[in-house]
Amino acid sequence: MNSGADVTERGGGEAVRLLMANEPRAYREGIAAAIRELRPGVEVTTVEPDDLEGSILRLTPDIVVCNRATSPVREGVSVWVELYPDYAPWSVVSVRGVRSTLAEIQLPDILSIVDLTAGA
Amino acid sequence: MENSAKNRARILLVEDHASFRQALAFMFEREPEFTVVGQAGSISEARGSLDGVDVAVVDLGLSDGDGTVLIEELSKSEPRVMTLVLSATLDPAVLPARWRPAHRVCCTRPSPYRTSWMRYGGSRPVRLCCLRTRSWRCSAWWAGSARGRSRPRDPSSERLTRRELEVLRALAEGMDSQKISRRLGITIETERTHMVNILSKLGLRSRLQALVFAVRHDLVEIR
Repeated sequence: MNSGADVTERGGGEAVRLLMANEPRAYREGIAAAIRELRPGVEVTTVEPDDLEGSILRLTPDIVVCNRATSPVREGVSVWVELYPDYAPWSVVSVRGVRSTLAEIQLPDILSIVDLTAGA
Repeated sequence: MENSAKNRARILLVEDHASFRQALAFMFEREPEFTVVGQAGSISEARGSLDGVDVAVVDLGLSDGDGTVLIEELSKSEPRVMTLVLSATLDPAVLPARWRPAHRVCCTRPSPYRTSWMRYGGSRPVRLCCLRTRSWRCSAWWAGSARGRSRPRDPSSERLTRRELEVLRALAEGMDSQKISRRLGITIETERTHMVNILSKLGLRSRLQALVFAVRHDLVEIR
């Protein structure tokens, strides 16, 4: 897998902040670990789903990955991924209000979302 | 530490959630102990990818059936292959009834995490391990232990002090630096110093490598 260019800073030079609160934990930690390696400039934080809303207020993430995009996620975060809601095979991606459903999201898809956010 | 291709545990990942499977594969490939020789999102895909596999990491809930079907097929056709089961439940009832009597359940401690890893050893005594507090790292640990369980003790391990062995044992229980320091009554800085010394003596680069080394060379006991 090619890590590609490190384009993980936003226009203003700030690092992209990615908050991951999906379950199960192995998915969360596994995907987070891979993103940290492949996009070293991204600030990746993992939290329990119960801590998601408080973490949004505290960290003001650019991207949230979770199993269920609640109102605070939809209203407070411009880019979010509803990853495998209820262990379904599909995922929902919202980028600045534009939503799409991916039948089988791939790790490169998530990296593309990070890159897209960085390039905003 | 360089590890030639023939000494690496060859892993087949069978998991229908592609993003996690790919992340797991990437992290395995970063470690010199492992190589991912195949990825499959279903039982039918996995059936065509079994050649030369040492360890199969299998999700139970697959799109075309239950992962236990694949595991039973593997235990008959490839009895030397060790299987790790990735499940989102800790309930042994998810396993076939004929497996259960031989299970020994090891729960490390209460935890809200719902991920468990279980090992099914084919015709050998079955051990079911619910590693509730461990992250993806546990898979690497078991995969490493599966291939190298009978290796002789490495001479370099004789240089480890009693305290360093205690640190390794705590690491094998899934503890991080903070918990290890608390267990041993030392500061985190001292724990890190011990770890640096362990890595230096064994010629390793990471805690994960230290863990795999310790399991392979019987420096720690898997509970």
